[in-house]
Amino acid sequence: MDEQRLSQDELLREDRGGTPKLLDIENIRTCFTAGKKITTILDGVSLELTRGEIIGLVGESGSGKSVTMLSTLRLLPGTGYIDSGRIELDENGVNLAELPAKSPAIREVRGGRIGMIFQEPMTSLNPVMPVGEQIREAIITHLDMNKEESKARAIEMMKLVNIPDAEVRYNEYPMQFSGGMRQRIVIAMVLAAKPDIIIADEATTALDVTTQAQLLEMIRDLSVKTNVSVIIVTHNLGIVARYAQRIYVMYAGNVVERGSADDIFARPEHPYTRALLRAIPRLNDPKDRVLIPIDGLPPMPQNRPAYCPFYDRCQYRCDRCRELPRPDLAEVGPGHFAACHLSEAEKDARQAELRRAGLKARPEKNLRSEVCLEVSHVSKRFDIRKGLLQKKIATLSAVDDVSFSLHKGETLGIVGESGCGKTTLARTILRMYAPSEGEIKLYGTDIAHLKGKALGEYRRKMAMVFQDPFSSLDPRMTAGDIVAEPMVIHKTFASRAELSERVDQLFEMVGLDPLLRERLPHEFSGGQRQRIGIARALASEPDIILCDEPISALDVSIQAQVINLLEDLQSTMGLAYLFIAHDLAVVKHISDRILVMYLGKVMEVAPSDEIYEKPLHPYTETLLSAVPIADPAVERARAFIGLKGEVPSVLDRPKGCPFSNRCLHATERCFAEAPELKDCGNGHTVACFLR
Amino acid sequence: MDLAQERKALRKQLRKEKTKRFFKAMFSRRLVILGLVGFLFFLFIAIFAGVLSPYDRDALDYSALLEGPSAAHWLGTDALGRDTLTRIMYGARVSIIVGVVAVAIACVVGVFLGLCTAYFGGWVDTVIMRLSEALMAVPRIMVSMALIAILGNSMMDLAVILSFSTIPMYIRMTRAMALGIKNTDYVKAAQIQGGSSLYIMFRHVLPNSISPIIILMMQNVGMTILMESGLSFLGIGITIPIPSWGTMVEAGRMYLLACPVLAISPGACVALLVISLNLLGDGIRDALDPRLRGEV
Repeated sequence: MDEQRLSQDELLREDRGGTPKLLDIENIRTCFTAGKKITTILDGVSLELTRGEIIGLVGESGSGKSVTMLSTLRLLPGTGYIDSGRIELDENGVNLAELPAKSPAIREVRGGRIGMIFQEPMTSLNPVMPVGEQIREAIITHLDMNKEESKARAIEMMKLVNIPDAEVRYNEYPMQFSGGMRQRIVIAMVLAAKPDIIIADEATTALDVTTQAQLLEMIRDLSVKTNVSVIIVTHNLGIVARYAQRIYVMYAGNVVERGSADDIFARPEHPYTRALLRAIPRLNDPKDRVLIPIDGLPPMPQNRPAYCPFYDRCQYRCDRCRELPRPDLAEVGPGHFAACHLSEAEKDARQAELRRAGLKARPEKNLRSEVCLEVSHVSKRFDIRKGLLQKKIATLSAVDDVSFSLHKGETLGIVGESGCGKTTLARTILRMYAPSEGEIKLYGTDIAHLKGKALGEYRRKMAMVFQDPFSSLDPRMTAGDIVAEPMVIHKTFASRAELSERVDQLFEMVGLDPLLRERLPHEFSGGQRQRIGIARALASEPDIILCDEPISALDVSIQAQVINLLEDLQSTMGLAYLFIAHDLAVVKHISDRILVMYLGKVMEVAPSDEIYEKPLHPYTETLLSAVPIADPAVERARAFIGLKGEVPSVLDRPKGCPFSNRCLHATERCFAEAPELKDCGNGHTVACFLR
Repeated sequence: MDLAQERKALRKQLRKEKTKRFFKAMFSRRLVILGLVGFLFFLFIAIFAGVLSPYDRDALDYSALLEGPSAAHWLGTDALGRDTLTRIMYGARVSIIVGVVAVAIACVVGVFLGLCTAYFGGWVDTVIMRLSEALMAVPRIMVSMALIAILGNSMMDLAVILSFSTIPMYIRMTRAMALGIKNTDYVKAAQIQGGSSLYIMFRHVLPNSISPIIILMMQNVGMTILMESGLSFLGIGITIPIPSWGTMVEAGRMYLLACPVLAISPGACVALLVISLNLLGDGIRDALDPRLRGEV
């Protein structure tokens, strides 16, 4: 049946003398009802896809990229419906948008023709069913196969997505797999039914960079091998630059620009695309690169204006944009479309004007030689206990012999994949736990084992900014009370009036209107909440702020605002940052030095430019190569240096070098003994025998 | 100064909006209004029983024994000629006081212990949880009977006794809520700043786990009133001459055929008050639970 379909396609292709559109979405409008109110989420989105093509759909959260995909599959939740438009496969004249969502024809399309990979592999797999059976389920739904055939195909699929020991693991349950492996299973499941199109909706967002690279490389290989088309839906511009051939940029329920990946990155036409590219840090940025945030927030779907929805945040806007209705996509180059009223000349003139106005220079660093924090040989071990008598069965060594120092006014970036111990290290430094071994010296005083009041004095000197701006603010306290909390705890104010004044000051410092003090956290946007979190961290007048993934929960256009705020504050107040993140581009942008961790151990410490230009540790090299750069021209010259297997659990860290069992250059010595950090000059230290 | 005044006005306005939202969610179901009216009605009667009642609580009228409803005695009289309406009014006082006091005691003790178990964990958790499980394993009525034998059965004794057996419910509920909240980042933020355990418990953990506790309290008041009536009916609760609805039903039981109103009217009062309280509890749950609030 599948071959039939293929031959038909070939016939079609010959007939028309060109490639037929595999998927053709034309002008769909999707609405949601809430009570009597109707909200238009997608307002005329068009998209096309040919066989074997990989396209990228990028946009911030709420831009409608996921809804576009859900509309295509007719999987809209509850109150959503497609108001008008056309969705066609193979140009066969059947409008999928008009068929009932539960009709057999749609069910055949779902999974059979178009497969979808969701973000969270754990929730897209059934936890009480062996993974092999789940793959087989997809096969028997869509292909005419008996039990043996389908089981054989399921195992074949598991091998295709590089799951080792597929025959054995066929009977295992999702919880027995790691996050990356689970996502492989989902991909196997999707591929098993021989679809023509795979939609990867933020499929790798929750995974580590190396796992992400492994999976995307695999998807690209499969696409080439089986001629399947892929739609990558993501907010990460780097990913589309590396993998997509064509790109659709979405904003406020519309496609604002589409074109080949090269065009979009080299010659962005829509002001939004241009603004996005100026707002994101890249791994290959020069040292003095300034991020230009996009002011404001995207409009909420219920109050999108009748004019261009980007008008309010646009740097190129003119009065005409406000008077005219929303612009349609217009051809600006071969195969390159943008939805903007402004002419080429107008944009050029405005750009020249903006350039003349000059960029705000990057805030000056005032690095000082004074060391404020010195961590030496810190280890943190947790006992794993089990049973009635709480017998110790194992020791988990989350952080193992970590040493570094932090100067005043400096930013030290800590990178590593999940489970590498960076968060445990942060919490140990902040003395949420006492370290099992080692010293944590704050201005020369060892605070590793201080308690009670003595510790309280030092707690004031350190503060933390958290990752999740939603769970880090008490939902029942007003923003003002949240910011005042550290001062209340440390009793650093003489009167209520003084406290109130100080809170106002802090609000202004982080760029928030003091009048917002009385609001509760849920009334703020993500970026604003993160500002409140930063204000709270500043309240006790600390010298060191630990930022644990402070921007990874924010949209790209907001990230730059927060990064710039952190840099400004550092420059004016001489703060030292410990900046923990998994986004290497961001870490490289903000940090002076970078510390790379793997399985609780320090692999490499170096100045941030040096680590990018000449990484010494094989792990650092792999990590850097896994991060896609948002520029296809640069990407063509780069390749992901593969690595073996997956991050092992800290519980079975290899005996020698922790990276030895995955390293492509490992020698016998690496398996036998663990390398010490050694100085390679220029402030560059590395723990590897090969250097 | 301008800013401060502006802020004050804003705060006031926000508070007003919040209260408005609360009541809107609470009364989005009509039955809740009925519950509130019912509860306020009984509360009013209980408070002003002394003023409202047509007769003295223990006044005997030997000329009218076991009479049905009449103009002089709206709900008739009992075997000693006491006015039923009067005694029901005083009975409301007993029921509401016992119910509210018992729940208040159970809530304060249970919530505090629950917070401790969740926050400190370890042996504190083990000891308190095992004890509360042991208490829950024994039927509530048996615990109450045993305690009555030890402590006595005055109104306040009963309140304490009835609260005792519900404490484990509060401990468990608070513990479950607090365990989740203990791991949030805002609690970590306070810990990093060096906030004391008590500060964190009462500033962060308690306010964020209070909603389901209030809902539980509302439901428990009704349950406790039923329990008190039950004990009184069995003759081990409130004793004569203090009028309690339970004892009144018990006394009327013997004359159920001759004078049904004697047993039915206090019984109906128990039912009405408990239903009102439950309806009111539902309304408060709707108003406090943000998930439900979104749907309403």
